[in-house]
Amino acid sequence: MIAVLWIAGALAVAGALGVVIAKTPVHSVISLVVNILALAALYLSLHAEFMALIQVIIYAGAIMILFLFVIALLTARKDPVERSEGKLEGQRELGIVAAVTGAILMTAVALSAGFGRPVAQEALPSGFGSPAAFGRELLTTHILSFELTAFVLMAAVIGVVVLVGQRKL
Amino acid sequence: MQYVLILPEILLAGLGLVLLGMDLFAKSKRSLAVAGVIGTLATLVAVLANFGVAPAEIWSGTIRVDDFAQYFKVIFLVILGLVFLFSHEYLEKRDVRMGEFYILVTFATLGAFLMVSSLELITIYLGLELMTIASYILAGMLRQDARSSEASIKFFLMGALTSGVILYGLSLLLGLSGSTHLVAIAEALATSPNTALITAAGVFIIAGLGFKIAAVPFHMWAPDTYEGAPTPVSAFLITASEAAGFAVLLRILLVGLAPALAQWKMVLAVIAFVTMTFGNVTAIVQTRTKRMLAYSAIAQAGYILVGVAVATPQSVTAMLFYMLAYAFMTVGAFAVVIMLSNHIPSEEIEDFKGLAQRAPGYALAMTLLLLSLIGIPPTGGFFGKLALYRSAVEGGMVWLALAMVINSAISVPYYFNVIRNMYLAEEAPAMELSARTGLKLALGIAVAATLLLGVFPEPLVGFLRTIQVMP
Amino acid sequence: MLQQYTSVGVFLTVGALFVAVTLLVGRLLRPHNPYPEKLAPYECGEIPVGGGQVRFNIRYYIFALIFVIFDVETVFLYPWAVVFEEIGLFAFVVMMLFIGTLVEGLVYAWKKGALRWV
Repeated sequence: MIAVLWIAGALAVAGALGVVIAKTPVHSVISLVVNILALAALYLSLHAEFMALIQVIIYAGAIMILFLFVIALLTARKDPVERSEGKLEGQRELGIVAAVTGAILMTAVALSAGFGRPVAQEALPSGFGSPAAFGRELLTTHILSFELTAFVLMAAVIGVVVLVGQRKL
Repeated sequence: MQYVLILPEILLAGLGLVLLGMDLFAKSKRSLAVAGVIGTLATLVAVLANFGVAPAEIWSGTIRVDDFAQYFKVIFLVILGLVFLFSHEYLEKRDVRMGEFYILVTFATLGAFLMVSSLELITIYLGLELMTIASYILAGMLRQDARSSEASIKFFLMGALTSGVILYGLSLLLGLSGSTHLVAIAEALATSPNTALITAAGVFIIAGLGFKIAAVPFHMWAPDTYEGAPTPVSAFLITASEAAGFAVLLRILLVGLAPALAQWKMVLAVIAFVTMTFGNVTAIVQTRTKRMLAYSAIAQAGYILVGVAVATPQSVTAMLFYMLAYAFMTVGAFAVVIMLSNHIPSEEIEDFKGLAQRAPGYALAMTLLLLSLIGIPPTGGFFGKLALYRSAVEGGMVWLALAMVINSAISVPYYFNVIRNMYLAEEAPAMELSARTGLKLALGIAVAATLLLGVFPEPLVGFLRTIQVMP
Repeated sequence: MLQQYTSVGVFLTVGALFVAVTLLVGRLLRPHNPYPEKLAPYECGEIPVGGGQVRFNIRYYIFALIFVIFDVETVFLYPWAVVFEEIGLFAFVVMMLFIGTLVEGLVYAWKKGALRWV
C-alpha cells in the first residue's frame, strides 16, 4: 500500500516536472498524462474509486485531447518553440526559491502533523468511493450542488460560443 | 417549506434559463433587459419575504437560510438590477453580445447567492466557481478590444490559480475535521492538536480569498481586469464579486476557523492597512477613469477588510452597512462613467471636463457619489466609514482606525480631481449628452439610496445588529 | 481496494514494458542505414506533398471544447444510473432537470451556429 503511494507520488512529481521542463509542447502533454495517471493511482490508494475513474476519463481522455488540439493548432512544427526570455528579470530564480520555500514549509507542516506515523484506521463504510456511493451522495445530500453544476457547464457552453465562436452571427 | 426557503435561488436560476430562451427567439434584445429587471424584482420580493425567518439548515445542511445570507442577496440583487438597467446602450455601442451578457450576469449572481447561503464547503466552492467562471467570460466580452481579452485571460489565470489555492485550504480543513460543514469543522478544530496544519489551512484560505477580493499583495490582476473589462462588468465585479468574497471570508473565519481566529487578526489588519494605502496612493497618479476607480476599489476593499480584522459584532455590522452603501455609490459612479463613455469612448478622467455645464444633473450626482466614496457627510459612505472606524477603536485597533482616517485624506485628491474637472475646467467640448431611461433610473436609485443611507442610517443599522454570522 | 486493481496495474506495466522491450530489441537487431526516401512519410506509395505536420483548422477547437463539456455531463450519468433503482422517481426528476438545463445549452450552441461547419 505504502509502496503504491511512494511510486505513484514520485511519478506524479516527475510528470509535473516534465511538463515544465520539456522543450516540445507534445512532450509536455505526455508528461501531463503521466502525472494524471499517477494521480489516479493515488486516488485509488485513498479508496476513491470513482474519482480515479473520472480522472482517467475526463482528464487523461477529454482534456488531453483538447491540449493536443491546441498544440496542433498553434505549434505544429518540428523545431521546438523559441522561448523568449521573460521580461521580469530573475523570474525563474524567484520561482525556484518560492517553490523550494513552499516545499520546505509544507514538509515541516506535514511532519509536525505526524506524517508517516501509523494512524488508527476507521473502517470505511462498504462501497466507499464507488460510483454507487458517489451517486447516492450526489442524489441525496448534494442535490443542489449537482443542479448547480449544470449551470457551471452551461456558463462554459456560453463561454465557448462567446469567446471562441464567430464574432458576428 | 424548503422550496419556499430556496425560492430566490430557484427564481434566479429560472431567470437565467428564460433569458437564454429569449435570447434565442426574441427579436428585440431590449426585452431581455426588461425581463431581467422583472426577474430581479421578483427574486428580491422572495428574498425579502424570507427575512426574519428563523435560521434554518435545509437540503441536508448544504443550504443555510438566515438573515446574513438574505442581506447579502439583497446587495447582489440591487447590483444585478442596476446592471440590467444601465447596460443596454453601452452594450449596443460596443457591439457586445447582449443576450449572453445578461445571462452570464444572472448566472454569476446565482453563484454569489450559493456562496453566501451555505456553511458547507462544497456548495460554497461551487457557488464561487459559477460566479468566477461567468465573470471570466464577462470580462472578455469586448471581442474587438485587445485590453478586454487581456483582462479576461489575466483574470482567468489568476482566478484558476486562486481557486486551486482555496481548494487546497478547504481540503486541509476537511482532512483535519472529516467534515465539510463549517460548524463541525470548528468543533473538530477546537480540540485538534495539529495547529501547524490549521495555520496552513488558514494561510491558503486567506491568500485565496484575498485574491478574490483583490487585497494587496494579491491584487496584481485587479487593475488590468477592472480597466479592460466592459464597464458594466467592472461595476459588477468590483461590487458583487467582492461582496461575495467578503461574505465567504467572514463565514469561514468567524465560523469554521473561529478557534484559530486570534492568530489571524493581526495579519488581516496589516493586509487591510497595506491594501487601503496602496490603493489610494496608486489611484492618485491614474489618468484613466476606470483604472482610477479600480485602484479606488482596492482601497475600499482595504476599508472593508478592517471589519474582518477587528472581528467584533460591531465591526461586522459596520462592514455589512458599508458594503450596501458601497454597492450603491460604486454602481452609481459607474453609471455616470458609462453614460459618458457612450459619447466619448476614450474613458479618460479629462472627459469629465465641463460636465457641470453640459449636464449639471449628472455632474451633481457624480459629485455626491464621489463624496460618499471619500466618506463625507451626508452620505452613506460617511456613515459606513464612521461605523468601521468606531468599531476599530472599540475593538482595540486604534492604529488601524488612524490609518483609515489618514487614507481618507490621501484619497481626497484623486476623487476631487474628477470633481474639479467637472466644475472648474474652462473649455468644454460642446456635445449633447443624453442617456436612456434605464440608466437615468439606475443613477437616480443609486444617488437616492446613497443619500438615504447617510441621512437615515439608524433603521438599517438597527436591523443589521440583529444579524448573526455564527449559527 | 487496491488489490482489486492489481491486475490493472500488472496489465499497464506489462503493456509499457512490451513496447519498450520490442523497440529496444528492434534497435539492437536491425541494420542502421537511413536515406532520404526511407525517411520520407509513407503515403500509400505516392511521393508526399508538403510537410506531415500541418495546422489544424481552428474550427475543430470549438467542437473539442463543447465535447469536453458534454463529456463531463456524461460522467454524472454513470453514478446516477448505478443508484437509479434505489432512489427511484426522485433521481429521475433530478437528472431530468440537470439534463434539461444542459439540453438548453446544447440548443443554444446549435442555434448560435457553434456546431456548424463553415
